[in-house]
Amino acid sequence: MSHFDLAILVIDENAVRAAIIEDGLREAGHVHVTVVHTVNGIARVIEATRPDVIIIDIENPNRDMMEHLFQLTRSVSRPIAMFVDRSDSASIEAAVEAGVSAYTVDGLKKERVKPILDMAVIRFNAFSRLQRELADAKSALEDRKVIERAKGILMKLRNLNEEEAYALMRQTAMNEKKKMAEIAQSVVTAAGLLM
Amino acid sequence: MTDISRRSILKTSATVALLGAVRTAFPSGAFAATAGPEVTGVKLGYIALTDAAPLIVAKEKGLFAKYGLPDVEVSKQASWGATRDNLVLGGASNGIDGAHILTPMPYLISAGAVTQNNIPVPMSIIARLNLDSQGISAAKEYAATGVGLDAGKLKEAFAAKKAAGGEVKVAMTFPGGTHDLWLRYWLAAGGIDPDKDVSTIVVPPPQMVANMKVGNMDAFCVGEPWNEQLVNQGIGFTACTTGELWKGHPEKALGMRTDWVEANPNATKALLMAVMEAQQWADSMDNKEEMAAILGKRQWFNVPPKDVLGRLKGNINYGNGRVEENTGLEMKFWKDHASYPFKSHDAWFLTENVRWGYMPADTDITALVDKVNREDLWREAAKELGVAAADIPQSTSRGVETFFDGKVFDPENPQTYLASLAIKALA
Repeated sequence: MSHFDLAILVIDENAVRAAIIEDGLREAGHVHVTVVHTVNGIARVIEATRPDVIIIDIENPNRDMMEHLFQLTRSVSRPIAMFVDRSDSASIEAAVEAGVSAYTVDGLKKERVKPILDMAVIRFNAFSRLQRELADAKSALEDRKVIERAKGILMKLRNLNEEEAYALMRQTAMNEKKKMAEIAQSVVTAAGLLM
Repeated sequence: MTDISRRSILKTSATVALLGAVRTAFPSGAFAATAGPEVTGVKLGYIALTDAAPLIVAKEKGLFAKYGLPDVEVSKQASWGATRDNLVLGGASNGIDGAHILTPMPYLISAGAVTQNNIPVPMSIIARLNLDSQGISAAKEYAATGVGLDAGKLKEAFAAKKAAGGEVKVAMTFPGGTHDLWLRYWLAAGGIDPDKDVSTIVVPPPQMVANMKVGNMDAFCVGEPWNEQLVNQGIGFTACTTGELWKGHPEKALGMRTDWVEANPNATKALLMAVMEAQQWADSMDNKEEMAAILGKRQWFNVPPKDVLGRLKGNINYGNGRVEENTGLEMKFWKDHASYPFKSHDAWFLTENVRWGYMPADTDITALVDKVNREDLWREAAKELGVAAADIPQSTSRGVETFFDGKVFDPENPQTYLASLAIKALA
């Protein structure tokens, strides 16, 4: 059996991230991939899908509940919790940094799981990068909006042209060692109070 | 003007960087003579529980810095499983080197009983963090049974639920941990077998209230502020606090990776002194309001301070009509030798782990305690801190302990105690 025949269960409350991992695993040639979004009723899912590898977010508070279940349920044939191998610290670190924790069913060779875990780690990281970029883009857009509004207020109240209003905020930001968006926000807030 | 100030800032940071470089270049040179800490910080884990207060207070009040450890990080862990995994990794691999931890856990980790592939990771307990003030709570529907200290009152209700095809679920925070043991002790004392009559489930402390709210469990055992929050939100009630099971019982510990302790003896002492001073501060009744405000903050527990305050003072609203003031069951951080890690207490936790089959029946309890418990380090730090003689126990044993149901634990003779218990699951 090649490692592509392994049954893989992905548990992630974040549906988007789960989908990204699933895609990655399928692209890599894995055909037996199951995705669930909640740990509730997981025993039945495990019994039905008989996974060789389970991938779960390390920060998932239900991880402990599942681990305990493994200790109790015979149907899960006592899987071993693992972070690949202690000697393989680069993988462990990568997994922990990405927030992945994998549990493999007893007897499964580590070498066969590692590519799957690596894949999950890469996908996890890609997802957080996406999220970060999205958040950055969103806040940049917000910043631009508030700066535009502040500029308008200054132009009207102090009779400046657009360039002068912008330069004034920029100079103030530098003097106060603050971001321009923060200065703009205070202008908008102050204007709201005074007008 | 702006230019000048910016240049001077750059200059200052360059100077700081330069000084830092000198310091790292000669870690054991000129600085060794002063016997200061070998490192300027360490990464510690904590779970959002009131008994993590000594670490949080030490951080917020600048006590780590006072003793030469300005860079101590106190970082939140998602669950006890995550605490364990990060300890196994260690600070050098992006994990943590020490933690606010359930006292039995350093033993379970050192023995390899709960680690991946059962690989033992040597741990050391260098202090106790608190005594008392955990709680056992039940869902509102059980209030009519009148259950309190006697769990036996639940027996019929539990049996009825099972007979109707339901599952009785009781939650704790980590198998073999303190909450698991309090819950099991309480159930078994009431004639309910925790392995046969109910299903135990593991839920991280901060998730307890939410899980009971959606009906995932019938009862749970956890530390504060979660029992108090459960009452404040009207979801359930407190059957008993753990101090009623065993007054003045040990609870959390400050557990460190042994390799870190051995590599950093001076930093270990500094860490202990900072934590001890924080424990003294936390113990004073005058500071409870301020402490509740600190713990409630967003970056720590993110709960209303009122969820923390009542039980910090020993005023307990059980949520079933019973309200008691000045119970003496408040969490102790310093008085009654709360900070000193008695070996006899660790022996009880190991004996209970044997009782429930988490550890083999032939476990050499004394040998394991001697390996993990470093009360000697506590004594050294206490001496340097100038702790009053009365606050330093004479012996490593607090002696014979008596429980609410009359059972007696003699640390010299754990087997007699085990034999006296009716419900158990020795492996």
